[in-house]
Formats: sequence, structure tokens, C-alpha cells
Amino acid sequence: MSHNKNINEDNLDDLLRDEFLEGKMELEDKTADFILKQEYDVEIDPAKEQKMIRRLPAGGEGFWGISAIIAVLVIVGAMLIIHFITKDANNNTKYVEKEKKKALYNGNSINSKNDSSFTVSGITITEKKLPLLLIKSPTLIIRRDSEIRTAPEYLPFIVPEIKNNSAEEHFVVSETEKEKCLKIKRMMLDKFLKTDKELYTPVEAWKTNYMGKPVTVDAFIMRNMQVTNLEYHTFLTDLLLQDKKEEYNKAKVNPEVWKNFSLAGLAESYFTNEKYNDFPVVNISIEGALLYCSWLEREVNKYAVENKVKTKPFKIRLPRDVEWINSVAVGYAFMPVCSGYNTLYEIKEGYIDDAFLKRVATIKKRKKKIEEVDMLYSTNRYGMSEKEIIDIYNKAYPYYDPLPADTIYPKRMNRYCEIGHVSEMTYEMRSGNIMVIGCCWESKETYQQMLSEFHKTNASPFVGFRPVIISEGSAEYKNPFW
Amino acid sequence: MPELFSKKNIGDIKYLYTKFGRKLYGYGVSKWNLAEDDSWEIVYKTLYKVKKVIDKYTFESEEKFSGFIFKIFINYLRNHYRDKKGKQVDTIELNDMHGKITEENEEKSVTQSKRMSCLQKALQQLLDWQRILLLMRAQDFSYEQIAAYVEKPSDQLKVYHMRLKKQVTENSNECLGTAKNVAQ
Repeated sequence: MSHNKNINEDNLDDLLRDEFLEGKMELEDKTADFILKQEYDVEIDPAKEQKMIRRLPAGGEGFWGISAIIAVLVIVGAMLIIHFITKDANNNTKYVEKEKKKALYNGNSINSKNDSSFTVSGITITEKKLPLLLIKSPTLIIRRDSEIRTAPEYLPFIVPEIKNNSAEEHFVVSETEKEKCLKIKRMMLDKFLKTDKELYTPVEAWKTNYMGKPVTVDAFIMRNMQVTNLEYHTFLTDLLLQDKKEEYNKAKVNPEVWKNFSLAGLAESYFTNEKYNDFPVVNISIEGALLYCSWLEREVNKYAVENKVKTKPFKIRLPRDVEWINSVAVGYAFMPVCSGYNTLYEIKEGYIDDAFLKRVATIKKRKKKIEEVDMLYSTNRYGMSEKEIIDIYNKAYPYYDPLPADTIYPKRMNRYCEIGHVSEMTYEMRSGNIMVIGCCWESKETYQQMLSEFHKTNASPFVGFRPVIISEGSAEYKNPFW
Repeated sequence: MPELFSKKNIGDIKYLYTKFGRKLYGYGVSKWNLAEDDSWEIVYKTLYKVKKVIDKYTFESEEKFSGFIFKIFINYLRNHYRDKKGKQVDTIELNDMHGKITEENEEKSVTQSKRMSCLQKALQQLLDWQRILLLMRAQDFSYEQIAAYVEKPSDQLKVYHMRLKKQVTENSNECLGTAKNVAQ
């Protein structure tokens, strides 16, 4: 909400909304009745609706006493039955889950070609071996379902099939993939328009020093983490659905680059296995990143109009170096604690000055959260072996329930992007060129080596990107969602 | 008292949800830009609270009951926004969720409370229907919807609205100017 000292007609609505919410004015029953009689054109997810209803206590007098007794009796009875019948079955189930998890954490892919079998470390385990399947008790069927839900089954993406008909390339997107793409796209756009604070952070206009001179940085919204594999996959599939084959070809991921660094396992799985859905997308060209920003801008603005969201059109692009400096300087972003070369945040590179470093030191003191993973995400992956990298990725998994994989789950995206630790494409303000910024490089030489490899192959496993959103024409960002 | 509005009905969670829960969910999502999950959570808390305390109250009419349930919803909505604001001050990482650490927060808070106080004074000078027009329009209700409530022709409301905004802005700023002088 706006913090201008004066009230003007632009920020009046925000203040009136505050006023309504804070309830200093007496809220009349008539107003409540009016609001409750209106029709609201929103889609209701039946699953979420049912979930909410199930949580509510059932109606009727004496509900609490009777239902509590019944519930206790049912639970105790069910637990006793399950205990006796599934004693042996549980052992097998646990073994299967353990093997599945082990395979995931070792980076092995699980081929879930059908519901009843999968392969771990070359051993095919079929669920026919589970005694649970042979027991027809309804209680146990329910239990079996829940076991399946908690056991992570990562499915590979269906990479669009490309058939060469000699005349031109022919792309086929399956119905399942189309459905999934549209679902994820809608979630992405919804969260964008609702300015989900776990995904996007509005940064106010601010004066900062850049290259030794004071500059005023216009307000912008910074994405909290890099674009993920799932989001980029959705973007690519959507390009195909819109018949934008040329853009697709320019933007598609080049997983082969992993192999230049002897990381063949990741070449096979990183972009295609669902367990990496929320990790930052890498091995994409600068053009791919720019096309993603244009696609997101186009789709968000179209979606806002379709859903009658009152807002100015958004502009979406890669961040500028000065915006990164500003974000850190005003405390919206925090530099990882690490030694080594920190590109933009090196005083000798000239972008920042002593005052910036002093301010960063002050902000660092306020950092409350220290976790074991801090050390992991502040370690640059460049030069590591595949085993070392996968070991680090695996340490991220216990932090969040890995299911469901195909959803926009900001907290998990945030954690996995930290663990992914990639450098990012950014505009350099003084030249207008795109540079790669990042932290914790072993040395400037290592960074320059990675950079030359990036330019050679036009992609790198160590470089991703994130967008910023701007509301053009306003000197100070006015949150358009409120 | 209408049949629909019997004590039995309002104690029935199905009735409560169908009659109010869905509307409140829609209101939260469309007018307050709540995320789906947040809106469901607030509706859940509201209905749960209503169910828990309903026996202690009697209501003269459905309108009174609507007012009661809506006030509970607004309380939870307000708490939700306060929580969200509080969380923004938390920790931040370069590749992590960003939050705000500023030294100006306290100053902003004082400025904000002065502004709200002046705005309230300006609103109190208005007639009921004028205040409602401003408050409902700020929530994006259409002129047609508001017209039925304030019993004014919808084609005139836009003009009224513009004039009222100007009037409230001027009166609030006049009050703010006075407040600033006193503080100095």
C-alpha cells in the first residue's frame, strides 16, 4: 500500500480499502447483506471446496459429544484391524518406498511406465508382490491409496515428439501434456495476478549509487527465485500449442551441454524428470530467456483482460544490474555468506561502493535464520563432479514433501532454487548488454572460464534467469493489485 | 421470522456454507485478491467460529445474521493482512524470499495512522450513501450494483463518485496539513 504523505485520488482507493478492513467506521448489517447478495465470478476448485467442507464440523445438536465418541471408536477399531492384518504387508511397503527414495536421491530415474511396476537400480519391483493388493478390505484399500500418495513417483516429462517429414518439422503435443500445460500455466498466471508474495516482491523506487554516481532506480517487482524447469517446460509446450515453432526452436533447452562437464546423468534427467521440476531451468540461451519474458508478458496481460482484472499492462523483462544492487541495498535481497568472487558485488568491479558494503553488513546482522542448507546453497556448483552435485540436490528433498510434483508450490521452488544455485542473466545498465551475475565463484578466473563456455555453447548448466515486472510510466511503483 | 432463517438452519453447517461460505470465498478472491488457499482458510475459520458461538446469540432477521457472519469474516481477513505485513519484515536471501528491512517503517506507520485518521474525519462528514459509494467502489463493485443499494440512478453515480473522491481527498489533505503543523 502506498506510503505517500499526502492523499491523492490515485491512492485514495487503497486507503478506503484499508479503512473498510480496519473497521473504524461501523460496518452496517445492510452493507454486509449487500456484499453477501452479490454474485462473484470466481472458479471454485471442487477438490479444495470438499477439503474445506470436510474440515468443518457436521451440523446438528449434540454433534460434538456423539461424533467425538464415534470417531474415537472408529479410529481405535481401524488401527487394531490394520495392525494385525498389515503387519507383514507394511514391511514390504516400507521396503518399496525406501528403494524408491534411495533411487531418487541417487539420481536414478524411476520408470513408471504403468501403475504396477517400476525399476530401481536395475531391479524391477512390481506391486503384485504387495500383499496389500490381495486383501480386499475397504480399510486396507484406502490405506493402499494413501501409501501410493506418500511414495514419491516422479514421472518424466513427455518431451514433445518431433517427427521429421522431410518437408518440415512436425511437433506433437499429447492431450495429457496439453492438459497439464494449461493447468500449470493458469496457476502461474493466477499467482502472478494475485501478486503472491512468496513468488514476487515489489521493490520501491530508491536512490542508490551505481558506478560511483547516485541514480534513482524506478520501482519494480522482483521474482523471488529463478524460473523453474516446470515453468519453462510449460512455456515451451504452450509455444507449440500456439504453433510458434520458430520461437520453440530458439527457446528449447539444450541438455547436451551438461555432457561438456561430464554430467551425463543430469543431461538425461534434469529437465525431464519431475523431481527437478522446481529447480532452476538451465542450459537455455539468452534468446530463450528473452522469449520467456515476452511470452509471460503477453499471457499475463491477456489473462488479466480475460478475467477483468483492473490493472495497467505489465512489462516483463530480465532484471538490470542496478536493480539487483538496489534490491540488496534496501534489504529486499540478501547476499549468501561465502568467500570467493561475487561478480556484481565486488568493489573492484566498480558497480558498488563502500557505503553499499556497509549497508549489506548491517542487513546481514539482522538475518535470523541460519540453517545447515545455507552452506549448501552458497557453494558454487561449477567444477563439481556429478555425484557431488546430486548429493547436494538430494539434501534439499527432506525439507519439503515432494508430492505433488506438477504444481506451483512457492516454498518448495524457493528452497530448490537455492539448492540449484545458478548464476543469472542480467542487463548491464551502462552497456545495455546481457551479463551473467552470481555469487560464490571460486575465483574471477573460474567465472570467466564459465562465461567463455557459456558464450561458446550459448547455454550453461550454471546459468539461469528470473524476470522482473515493471509498471511503466510511474515514477514510484503503485501496487496494482490492491 | 422466515422459515429459511430458523435457528435450525443457521446451526446447519451445510446451510451456512451454501448460503454464506461460497459467497465469502468469492468475495475474498475477487475483491481482496486472496489466494485460493487463503480464501478457503478464512472461510473455514469464519464458519467454524459461527458454528461454535451460534448458540449464544439470537438474530432478529437474516440481515442481522448476515452482518454477524460478515463481521467475523472481515476480522479474519484483517488478521490475515496483518500477518502478511508482519511476515514481510522477515529474513531475506539473494536467491530466497525477499522481505523488507527498512529503517523508515516506524515513520511510515505514524504517517499512515495520521492519514487514516484524517480520512475517517473526511468520511464522517459524508452522508451514508456517499460513504458507501466510496467504500464499495474502492472494492470494485460496479455502479449498477451499488445503485441498487444506495437507491440512486446508476448513470449518475460515476459523477457523484468523482466529486466525492475529490472532496474527500481535499478534506483529508487539509486535515493532514493541520496535523503536520501541530507536530512541528
